[in-house]
Amino acid sequence: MKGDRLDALAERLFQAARDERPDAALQRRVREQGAGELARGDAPPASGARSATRKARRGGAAPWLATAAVLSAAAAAFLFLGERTLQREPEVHISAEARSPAKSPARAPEAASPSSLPAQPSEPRQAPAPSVEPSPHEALPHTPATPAKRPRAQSAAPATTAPVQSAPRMPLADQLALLKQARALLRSGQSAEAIAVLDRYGAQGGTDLRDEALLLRIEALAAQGQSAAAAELARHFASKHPDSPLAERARRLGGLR
Amino acid sequence: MSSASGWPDPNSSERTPASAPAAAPTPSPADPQRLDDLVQTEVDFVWRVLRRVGLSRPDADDAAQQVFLVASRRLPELAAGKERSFLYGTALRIAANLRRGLRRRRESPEEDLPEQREPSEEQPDELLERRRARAFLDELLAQLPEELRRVLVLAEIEQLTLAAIAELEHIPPGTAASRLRRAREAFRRLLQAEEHRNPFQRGEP
Repeated sequence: MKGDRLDALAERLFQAARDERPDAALQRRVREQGAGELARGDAPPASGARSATRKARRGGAAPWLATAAVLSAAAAAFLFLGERTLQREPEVHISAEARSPAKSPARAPEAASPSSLPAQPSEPRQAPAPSVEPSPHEALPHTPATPAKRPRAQSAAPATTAPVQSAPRMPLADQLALLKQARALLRSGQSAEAIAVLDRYGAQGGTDLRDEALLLRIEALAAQGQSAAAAELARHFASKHPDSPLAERARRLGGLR
Repeated sequence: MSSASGWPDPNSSERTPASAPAAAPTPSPADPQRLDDLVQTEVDFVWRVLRRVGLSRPDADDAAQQVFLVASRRLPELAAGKERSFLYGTALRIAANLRRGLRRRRESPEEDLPEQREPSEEQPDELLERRRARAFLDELLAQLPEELRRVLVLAEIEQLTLAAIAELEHIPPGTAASRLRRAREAFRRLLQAEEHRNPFQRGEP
């Protein structure tokens, strides 16, 4: 019967979909990312970004600073107040820079010592949600409505360190793309290029996945033979997050175990 | 009709349940073990949902990370037993945003890189056949109205009960049953029209 044949074909198609699984590494990355998030207990910027916006508009700051502050405030508002706060729904944006080599933004001069660590931007505590059961309509990752204008680059920082983070917050999708790029470079033996991508991650305002970025940096340094720098970063991470499940991985990557 | 984002439209002519439960469930703390368990039990489900709404494997990976990042931040407020509903809704919204961004940039869909395919003991031709089958399935699903596609995926691929589908979709069980019936009818019509493209080349199923 034709109907039986169609049913059987449909079932085979559905079975093929049921059998599809993500790569095993995804679960590990998701677990480590979540563990880092809980251990850190940070919250994305809210009032700090809004006050920066007011200051930028008053004080004749560079136009890019005003733009960046407005976008940061908008993104923070979206993340914590729900999408109703914004008139337009933010879009996930994977910028061209995230997928290809880009100019790194202007940075304060970076210390050349391998012991310099990525500066962590301070983030106000997350405001409690008004309802116990969060609506799926709220709390999407930070996605500005328009791409942030990033300041132009200075010369590249030393490969062993990450630039000070003063850029507007990078969309999460871009952060993921950069770390994926760094991971792929590291796996293919291009550890110096991986560190350059991680420098860009920090310089362009990557914050949500900074634990994972730091672990990748430790691994890249170790791969380059810079065992002292890798160990120092690993020791620093473990001291800052002694209870984090990632601390053990940091120690192992840094050669402390 | 569903909203532009794909989430069930509360203004739809179909009946929807009350917007809030009579008694709010008790939230659970931000327990790392709880998050770990959540990842272990739900990451495959979230990822497959993202794949069946049209994301490539790499994009589904990224979107899944975003979903669980949001979940990790909301964990203290997330009531026990409501995790899958939250993850499902968040996944649909993230996927909708991502697809809009991809369309705007007019990027071509990323090909699955060989290293991203799950290791398998299957022969290469079997793997290729399954890949073709999923691509064919996705083409058919893309032709369905979004609310019908979602219930069909939840029923036929995730093999959820009507009650579970109704909870995820925030619709009454009767509406879920009606949508599933219409989805199956529509899918069958599409399959009949495209049967000549049967991806299973070796013999009839």
